[in-house]
Amino acid sequence: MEMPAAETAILDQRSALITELIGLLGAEYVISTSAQMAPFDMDALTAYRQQPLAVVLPGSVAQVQSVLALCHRRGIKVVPRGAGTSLSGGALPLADGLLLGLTRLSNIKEIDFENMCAVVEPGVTNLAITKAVEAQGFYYAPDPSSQIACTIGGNVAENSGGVHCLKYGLTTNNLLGVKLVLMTGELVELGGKAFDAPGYDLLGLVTGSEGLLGVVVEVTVRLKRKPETARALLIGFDDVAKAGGCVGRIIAQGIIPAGLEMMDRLAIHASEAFCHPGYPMDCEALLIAELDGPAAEVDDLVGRVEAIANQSGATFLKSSTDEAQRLRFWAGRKAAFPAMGSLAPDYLCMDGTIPRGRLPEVIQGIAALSKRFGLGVANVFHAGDGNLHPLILFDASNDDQLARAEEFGAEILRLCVSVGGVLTGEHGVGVEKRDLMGEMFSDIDLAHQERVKCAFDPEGRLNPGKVFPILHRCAELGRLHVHKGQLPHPDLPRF
Amino acid sequence: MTVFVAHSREDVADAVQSALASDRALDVFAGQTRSGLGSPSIASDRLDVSGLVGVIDYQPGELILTARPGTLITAIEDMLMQQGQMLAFEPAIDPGASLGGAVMVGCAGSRRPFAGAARDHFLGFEAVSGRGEVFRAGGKVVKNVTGYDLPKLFAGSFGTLGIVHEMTIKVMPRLEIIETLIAPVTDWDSGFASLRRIMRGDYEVSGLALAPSAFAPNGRDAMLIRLEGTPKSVAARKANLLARESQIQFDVLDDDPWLALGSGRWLDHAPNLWRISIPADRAAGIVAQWSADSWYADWAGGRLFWIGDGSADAGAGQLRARIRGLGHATLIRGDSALRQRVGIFQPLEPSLAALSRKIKSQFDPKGILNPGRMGE
Repeated sequence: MEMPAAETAILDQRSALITELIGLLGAEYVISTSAQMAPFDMDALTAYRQQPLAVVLPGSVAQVQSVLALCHRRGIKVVPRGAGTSLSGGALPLADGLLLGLTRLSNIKEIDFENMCAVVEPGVTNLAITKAVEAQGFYYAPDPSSQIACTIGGNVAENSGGVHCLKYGLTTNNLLGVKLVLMTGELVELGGKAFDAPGYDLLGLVTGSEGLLGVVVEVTVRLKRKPETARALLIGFDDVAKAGGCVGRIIAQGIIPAGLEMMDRLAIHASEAFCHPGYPMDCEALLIAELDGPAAEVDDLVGRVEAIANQSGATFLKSSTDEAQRLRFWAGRKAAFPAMGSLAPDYLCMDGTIPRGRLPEVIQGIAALSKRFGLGVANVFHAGDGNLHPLILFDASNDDQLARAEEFGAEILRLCVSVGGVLTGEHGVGVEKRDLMGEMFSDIDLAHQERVKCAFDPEGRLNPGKVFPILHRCAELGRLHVHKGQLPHPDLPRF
Repeated sequence: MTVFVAHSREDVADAVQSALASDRALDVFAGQTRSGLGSPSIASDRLDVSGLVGVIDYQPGELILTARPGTLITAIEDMLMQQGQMLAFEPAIDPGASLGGAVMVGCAGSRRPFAGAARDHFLGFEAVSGRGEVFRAGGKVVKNVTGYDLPKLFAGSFGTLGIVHEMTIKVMPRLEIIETLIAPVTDWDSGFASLRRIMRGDYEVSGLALAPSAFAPNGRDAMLIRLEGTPKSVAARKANLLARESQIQFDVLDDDPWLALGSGRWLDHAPNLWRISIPADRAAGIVAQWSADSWYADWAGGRLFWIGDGSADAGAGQLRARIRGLGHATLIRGDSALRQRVGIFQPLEPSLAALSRKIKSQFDPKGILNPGRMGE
């Protein structure tokens, strides 16, 4: 994986840029020494590190605007960053790019229960929104696993998901409005407190655009009422296909669980060893199904799911009877990633989505790849919506293993696409899956996406090198006639 | 005027190529049940895509359906019904209404605040852009963040960015029972406040409307509340609601008013109709200025249908000035003179208008797709 070559013309401006930024914002907002920039070298895709040109941490929307206007004028690249929890390298710095951190903008500006929404700054963490409203019985629904740390601005950029997406949607389904600063420094307001603004759905377009279209400086999120109650079931199977069949039956019978997770044998064992949630050790697949709503509905649905589990050949079945037990059922799943630490020094977390019906063959395919690459893999799976998280186990201190792990991961994603799935269900493309975009999209498909970028940022200064495998110039994309499969500029950098 | 008729992707691409070559724009249509929405087309030629029909793939267990855009909503609903599923965004089902039309106008029913609009159920598509090129975006699975979310951009785009010829939508389980409660209200202020309070409660309602006596099914100023789900769930939520809101005199309504209500149908008699989207807590202040037989509210007040007033612009100027920065008003019915005069859509802020023009020109550089339809 290569990033675009750093532009000398930008690197040469470094000290002048830093001086200008300090003049513009004040020294306390600009970080430029190597030691102080070290925490910003990478995000949660830890295999890649890069020191940026400098780091700025603006304290107001006006400062964000002036920084972008300055960079626009000087032709400097900008990489926006929230808490740096991206698993796909979305916030990986560029050597010739300014890193724009939004964590100082961390106020909850308004909580509006009458309209079931909150207006927050981008650096507010996902969980902080729920914390601010839970005493009144409300919450913010999307719950990515990093919710204690990740920021809402990053959630908008990545269209983050979580374990409750199947019933409650991704970030995009839970937003009302966003204020966005364009690369020019101009502030635009997309949506607000009313639904479905006139014109093109730019709110929907910007959500999940991975920091390539603008910098989110304010978000109006929808609040939901906490369900009256929730219960979880643990359902074990001696065969992954049977577990997949059970998931299909639950949904075909019209039940949309709040959460529907699957773990394979290795993940079950690692989690049980890590935090002893009481998982059965003799299963090939374990489902965690959570039902929420009024107690009468939940009890009814728990009964229905138990019946489906038995029809599907479950070998283990336990339903939570109190809150402590429900949380214990989840503890192992929530610890599944850290539990991998007992199996290998490092892991790569993949993120494909597949049509759920293809699960058995994909699990078999992953097992075959595991043998081929000589690396272990544990599977954790948002089973309800078909979002797979194979965790590839390796040792990063061994260069050969890192390379093999990456190729193994790429093969898994190719497999997902080949059965009708997609490269990423919730982590984003970033740099991690950038070079695989061609597996899912043709050059013409990608050109139509890149032209959206041209409408927002024609110079390509905002987070370049992410998402798209080839950097096209907008002038070239603007031409009306493109010959299929033939690149007009063989000299363009490809990476 | 030439009318092209498309039966295949190739026909669509040929029509676009021909439009590019001749510099003659296309007005793309299928069932024409929604041609009154949006601004009138100013295209010189027409492209009929009502022949692009058929469900290509329907997998109930995956919650997805892939179809051609001319496929009738009624045909899709029938197919879904057999598997106990539905389109959760409640598109209107006028005879001839197509799936493509429902998504391209960005329709939203009474369930919008609880289950989303067409945009929230549009997962992927293949289209011919104004460049004459066939391209794909999104995917055929319910959870996908690979690349820009172009289905969101295309939902509600009135066919101005590309001609979709294959679309994948998310389908949902049909809720087992629907119950509608109706109760009299004494004044709009307290009526809207009750709706918002019920919305904030844990009753998981899926419809919250308020209607003056002229339209309300019980002939009195009334609120309507919809509960859907399994029988046990609906019974439990209803019991909670009745117990905690005991000051309200609820009755059960036998009819299902929601499809008509959510599409503005209760005001079918009026020549003009506005659809207004605002924060719910602003509704009472706005309707206080209107005569009682001229409006009703959906989404707990977040959406108002209003027939306008007797002024030359049917109230557009005053209304839009009042809700500027809060929400927006769209003229969804009106004679052509009024439609010309007031503008169908709330005008965009200049920065957003500029950005939208840039997006349009990227997908359709020669402006040959449905020019005029978005009031541009």
